[in-house]
Formats: sequence, structure tokens, C-alpha cells
Amino acid sequence: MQLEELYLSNFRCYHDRRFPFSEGVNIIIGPNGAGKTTILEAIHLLSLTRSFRTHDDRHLIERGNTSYIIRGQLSDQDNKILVQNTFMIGGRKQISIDGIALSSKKEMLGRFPVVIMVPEDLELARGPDSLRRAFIDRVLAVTDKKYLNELLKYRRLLKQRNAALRQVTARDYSAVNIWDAAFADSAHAIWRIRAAFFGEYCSIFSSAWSQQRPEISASIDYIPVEYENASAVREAMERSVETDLQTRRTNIGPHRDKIGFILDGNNLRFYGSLGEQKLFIIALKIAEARYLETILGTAPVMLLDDLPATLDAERSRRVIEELSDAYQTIISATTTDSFGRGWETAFKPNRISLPVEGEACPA
Amino acid sequence: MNGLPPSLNRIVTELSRFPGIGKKTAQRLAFHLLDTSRESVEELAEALLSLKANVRECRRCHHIAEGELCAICSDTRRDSATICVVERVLDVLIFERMGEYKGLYHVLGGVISPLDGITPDDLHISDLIERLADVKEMIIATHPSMEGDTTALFIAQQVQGLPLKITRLARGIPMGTNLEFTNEATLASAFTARVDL
Repeated sequence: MQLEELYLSNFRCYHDRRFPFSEGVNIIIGPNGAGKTTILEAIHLLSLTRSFRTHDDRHLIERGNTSYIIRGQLSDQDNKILVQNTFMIGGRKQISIDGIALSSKKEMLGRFPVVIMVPEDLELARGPDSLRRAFIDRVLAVTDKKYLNELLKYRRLLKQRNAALRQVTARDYSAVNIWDAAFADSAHAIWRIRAAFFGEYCSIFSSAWSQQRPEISASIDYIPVEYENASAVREAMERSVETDLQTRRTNIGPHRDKIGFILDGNNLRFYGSLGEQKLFIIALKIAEARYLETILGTAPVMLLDDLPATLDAERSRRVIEELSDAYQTIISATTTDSFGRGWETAFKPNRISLPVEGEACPA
Repeated sequence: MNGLPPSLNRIVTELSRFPGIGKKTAQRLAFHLLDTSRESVEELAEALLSLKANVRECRRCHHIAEGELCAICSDTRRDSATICVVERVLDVLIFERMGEYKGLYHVLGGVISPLDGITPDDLHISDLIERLADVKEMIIATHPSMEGDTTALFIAQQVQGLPLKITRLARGIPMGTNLEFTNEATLASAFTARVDL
């Protein structure tokens, strides 16, 4: 899938603007606060129906206005589709494809895949397991509707069960117990899908990594808790009752899964250098793109926010080369100096220079 | 505040508290009242007061009643060996509209949802159990939601060992729908609960 044109109306600092994109490399150049990330944010929103910077759509509306419109002209070989997102204060977000309104936001997922890399993604390597779980949940949400539905159900069950644990008095476990059957079913379903996902994703990752640094081994370490079936999960939950009652939360379940990034046998989170962590994230994102392409049958668009902040010149060029070969790549940067001389002639990027006369775009 | 007399503003404010009534509709209704004859308005006011004065909860099944027992509980022609357990009063009306059911009801007053602070003790479950002595079948008709299912399970657990048949509403494909427009979850449950021909 390729983005041909993006139209923004009353979206953050853009009152009424069109941005043309070309295949291969696109670069958005401009000083800080010029609105570079806002363009990537709008593309991300078209794809995943939400921003990566805020959960509140009201923050996305241009000051003084009450609604925004984002429109993307997309093409896949000879197929052209027009995706539109509109949001009005007090209303719900409306998404339409070729003028036909979608009944649910979920319908959009997987239609226009993107992979985004922002400087904060470094936290995936350094931060807690919850960030890595959120990462795989996002990839799976786009590629597997069943997983998304199960996950939403599981989260609600978990909240209910934890609330019951907080309210339980004396030693009456029955108010908690009643959630266990549904919880165990849901937990088991999620574990099964995650385990299958990792099997596939890890091998894609390994090949993406070996293109970066073949001399060191790297892997993603997911040790699924193996329960044969939902009743085995229930038994484990029963054994955990005392702990659950003490800690007042559920201690068994996929919400506690550990996902480790392993480099040369060591946990990247504690032992990796900054450079190694960055490289790992790059391979992770390349693997994400390849995985999406394999499962969805559609090449994703790569969005690289502030690439020079993440990578040095040499590495940036190699990554751009590798990605733009297979995917439409949209990069934002304050300057292209760091990409070294001659990169423009090498990649012939479509250049979008910001700010557009007089517009300033504080995020 | 908007040039309207205070009495009119007061009625607009009161009307806009109604579910589904916004400010504009409230204004339209208020102006309609203004145009209505004095007798009709008095009739309405009297109806409102009598609603509050006379309608209460049925002592037995918690349906709405005028008097101690509701119209369904006091109807001797109904089959007292069957009880249909529902979440809300509105659900009773839905089943009554169906016209198929001749048994009695029991209104729980909600579903178990710790997130909303609703525990089994907040529902009419203990007096349901007291009613079950002469009952042959209990139909649990809570909504097919996670909380509805859990509440059904809880009730079933509580009455374990009692000599009665416990059933749950089947779920599946709506009438008049094409298979291709049925979502996966609905289709899956219809498939699991398929029946012999």
C-alpha cells in the first residue's frame, strides 16, 4: 500500500493543506515545531484510527475549531482507495473508505498498514515488559481480529476480577471465583495466539537482525506459560488464590508475560549499549514490516520520526536503503546534513519543506 | 439568561434531565405545554404524582407493581413452577411482548460488576433462592454479556443441588439474517449450540 496524497483540514496547525507523496523515500524537513511529526501522526491515525501522541481526539483539532478531517489517497498496484477520518467535538470519530462509512474502527485495522519508529521506541529495549507486551498486542491487533476481540474481553475480565479482589471481605472467595472460568478461557486463548505469533515473528526477526549485524546473535525471548487447556489455567489460578487475595490482584495470566530482548546471550535491557539497543529496535521494526506484509499481503508504509535522533549517518543511510527498496518510506528530520553528502542523488527523495508560509505547529 | 421567563427556564431544565431529551427538545416540549389547555396540564401533573405515589416494586419478583404484588405475580393463571430471571424491569416487558411465556419472573436489578461496585449482595439473589422451593424450571435470561454470563453462573452455583432444571437462553443467528452478515462470535456460539434435526 502506498500513500499518494494526504489532506489535512483543521488538524493541529494545518488549516487546509495537501501533501503529495511519492514511492520510495519521502523526507519532511523543517525546524523543531514546524509540524513534521504532525504529518506522521495524521498518517498513523488513518492507519490505526488513533494518534500515537494522544488518546483524546479533541487535542488534535486546530485551536478555535470544532472538528478535523484527514483524508488519504492510497494506492495498491492499480487499486485506489480514499480513506477519510473526521472527528467533531461531542461526536464520534467517523471513518469512511471511498465514501462508505465503516461501522466500527476495528474494520479499518489491517487495511492500510504502517510501521512507525519514533525516538521513544528505544524504551522498548530499556523499559519494562509492559511496553513489549503492548508492542506485540499492537501488531497482533492489526493482523488478527480474533486476537483483538479476545484481548478486549480479557482486559475487561481482568479489571472485573481485580475489582472483585479489592472488594472481597473476610475469606469469601466466591465473588472472585465466579470470574475464573471465563478468565481462564480467555487467558488460554491469548496464550495460544501469542505463542504461535512468536514462533513466526522470531524467525523473521532473526533474519532482519543478521542483515544488521551477523556477527552477534540476537533473539526475542518469550517463554509462554504452557497450560494444556483452560482447565489447567483454572487449576493454576486456584493455586494462586492466596497470593491473589494478599496482593489484591490477579497474578496469573498473559498480562504478566515476560518478553526479553536477548543479545549475545544477555538481556538487552540490562547489558546492551545504546548503539546495540538502537540496532535491535531497527531490526524489530523491519521484522514488523515484513510480518505485516506476510500476513496481510500488503506492504506497509514506513514512518520514521526524527531519524537522525536515533541513528548516525552511516546507519541511517543503510536503513533507508534497505527499507525504501521494499516499502514507501516517510522520514522526518530537522536537517539532512547528517545523512552525508550525496544522499539526495542516491535516493532522489520527495521533499516536503516546512514550515509552510507562516504556519508554526507546536505539538 | 436567555430572555425566557424563569418559570419557562425551570421547566426546560427539568425536562432536559430526561433520557434522550436535549435542550432543544426540552424547549419544544415546554412551548407545547404552554400552548396546552390548563386541564390537560393538570391531568399530566396528576399522572406524574400518582406514578410516584402508587407504583412500587413487587414484593415477590421486584417487577413494577401497583399494590403489594405485580400484575404477573397476582395472576393465578400463570405457571408458578417456572421462573424467568431477568436483569431489569424493561426485560420483563420484552418477554411479555413475545407472548410465549406463561411463567413468573424475577428481576435481579442489575448484574454483578465489581467495576461498578455491584456485588451479588446488591442484587435480588437471596430472595430468588427463597422462591425456588416449588419451582421446576429456572430460566436465566440475563444479557449475553460478560457480566450477564457471570451473573448467570453465580446464580447457578448458588442453587446447586436444588432439584430444579436450570436453563440459559440460547444465542445464535437472528431471524431473517443471512449467514454471511453474522459476525464470527455469534456464528461460533450458534455453531456450538447447534440442535438435532
